[in-house]
Amino acid sequence: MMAGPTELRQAGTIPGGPGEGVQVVIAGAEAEFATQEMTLSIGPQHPSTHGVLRVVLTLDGERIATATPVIGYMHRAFDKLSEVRDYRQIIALSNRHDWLSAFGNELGVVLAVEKLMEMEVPERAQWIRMLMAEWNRVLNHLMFLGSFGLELGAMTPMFLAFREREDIQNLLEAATGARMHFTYNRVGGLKEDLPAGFLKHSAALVRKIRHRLLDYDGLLLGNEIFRKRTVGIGVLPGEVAKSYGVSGPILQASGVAEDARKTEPYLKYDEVDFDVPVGENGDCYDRFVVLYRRIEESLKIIEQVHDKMPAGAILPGKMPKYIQPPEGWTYTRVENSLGELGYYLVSRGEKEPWRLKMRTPSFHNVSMIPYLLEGILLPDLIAVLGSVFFVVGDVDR
Amino acid sequence: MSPDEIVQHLTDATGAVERSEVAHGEVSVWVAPARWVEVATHLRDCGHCHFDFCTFLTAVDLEAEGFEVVLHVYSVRRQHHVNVKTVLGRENPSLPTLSEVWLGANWCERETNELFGIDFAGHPNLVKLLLPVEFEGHPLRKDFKLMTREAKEWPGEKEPEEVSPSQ
Repeated sequence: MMAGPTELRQAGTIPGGPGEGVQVVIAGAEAEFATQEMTLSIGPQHPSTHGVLRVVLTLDGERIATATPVIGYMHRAFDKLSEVRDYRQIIALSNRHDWLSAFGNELGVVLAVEKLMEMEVPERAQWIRMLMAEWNRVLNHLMFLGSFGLELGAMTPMFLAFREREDIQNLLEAATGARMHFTYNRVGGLKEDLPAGFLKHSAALVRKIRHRLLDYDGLLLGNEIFRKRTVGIGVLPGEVAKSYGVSGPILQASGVAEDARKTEPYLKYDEVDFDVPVGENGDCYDRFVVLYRRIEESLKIIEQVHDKMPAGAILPGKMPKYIQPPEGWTYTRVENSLGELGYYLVSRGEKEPWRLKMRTPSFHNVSMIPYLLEGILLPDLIAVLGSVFFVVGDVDR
Repeated sequence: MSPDEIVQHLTDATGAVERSEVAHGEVSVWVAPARWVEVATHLRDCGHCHFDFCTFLTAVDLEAEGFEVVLHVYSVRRQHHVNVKTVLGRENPSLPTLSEVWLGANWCERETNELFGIDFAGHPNLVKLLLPVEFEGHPLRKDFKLMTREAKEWPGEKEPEEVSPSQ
């Protein structure tokens, strides 16, 4: 049957040899092709998920229709284990979760126990804790600065970040004896005092890192490809972030200047001068800039700690034989590298806690991921996941 | 608001506060399960409270008395915290969901559901979060024994002086 004039206008020719071209008529070409959604499972073993996070996507072409994070691959029952261990042992347990900010994790636990026991911590111990917590924050942020570049195709920042991280690790190792899991805190103070010459080395390292940070500024922040992939991508409004319980650099990038060090100062944060950097748009680029600025602020704090470090003991003169907080409850939070880390501690006056709930920033950050992913293009997923800072151990606990 | 002002405000505004406690500058209020969603919505919407940050939701096993569900919220604008608690019986503990009040409550309730076996009525997706699908039991209940500890004595249980040097 001959095709009518309308069909002929839509007809195409598949080229062949001379005189062998085949004319094709596409029936109903004006209607859309029927498409179906595709399920794509990313992870748990995927480099962009920073560990064993799995995200199940349904794709409508290149666009992400739904995103479901699947977590729990590294669940280590922190809450249950803490109920059968005494408080000294919990310190070693708690620093294993966010392995990039081990010192901050320990700090939260000991502050909660000290609060319940109404224990006075010596001045020097508090200043040293602050010094270590800030170095740990720099260590953590450098990791994310480097890996974010790597995921977007820039290899160099990763190498640079690890060069800096190595220097900081050596410094922390000199004081704590460990590279990852410092276990330097004790209820009431610290394991031991800083080694001789530590502050001098620390001050030299601040100058070194500050100088080297300029490299990142040039390599990434001003890089056109980097900006193209991050500006306006994954915009998170501040109200949504707060409702999800998202904290730390991500919340600050969304324009909310919330930082426990500022709003509810613990240790000696009220005696040092620093700013809370905030973003304007809450996109991937802002999150990255806030992370970068937070390093600068941490270095500022470290320098002030050097100047103000008092002499004295690092543990109270009189320690109880057993650490047994009286009956009660407390929620104690610290501003850890990735956001608000808190411990809800219920004590019944025993050597072990009755209930110790660890509230981690990464858990809430990951719970927000579907909000950012749904509706965006698949290639932007990498930029978004890289800018939602989380550590899988901290998500799964 | 200071902790005492929060208790006073919630007592006057909702009439749901059954008991309150202030310790270490922190505040807890206990409400009946039936008033759970109403109080939560008030905390979020009232201009004096303005609790916009969902910190966490979890539970504590009180053994014979049942389970205590703990909701902790924070106000970024007003910079105050509150713990809202409610006690449920051991038999089929159930509470209406808060996932429509704060987005963050969704995952917290899934976690509390699998670890304590507390049902959150009306939750859109109350499936396991951290544990494998085939896992049986609710590990954070006190009657769920940690089997490794039951099977073998743990050396860390002893104080150093209780262990002889040869061990």
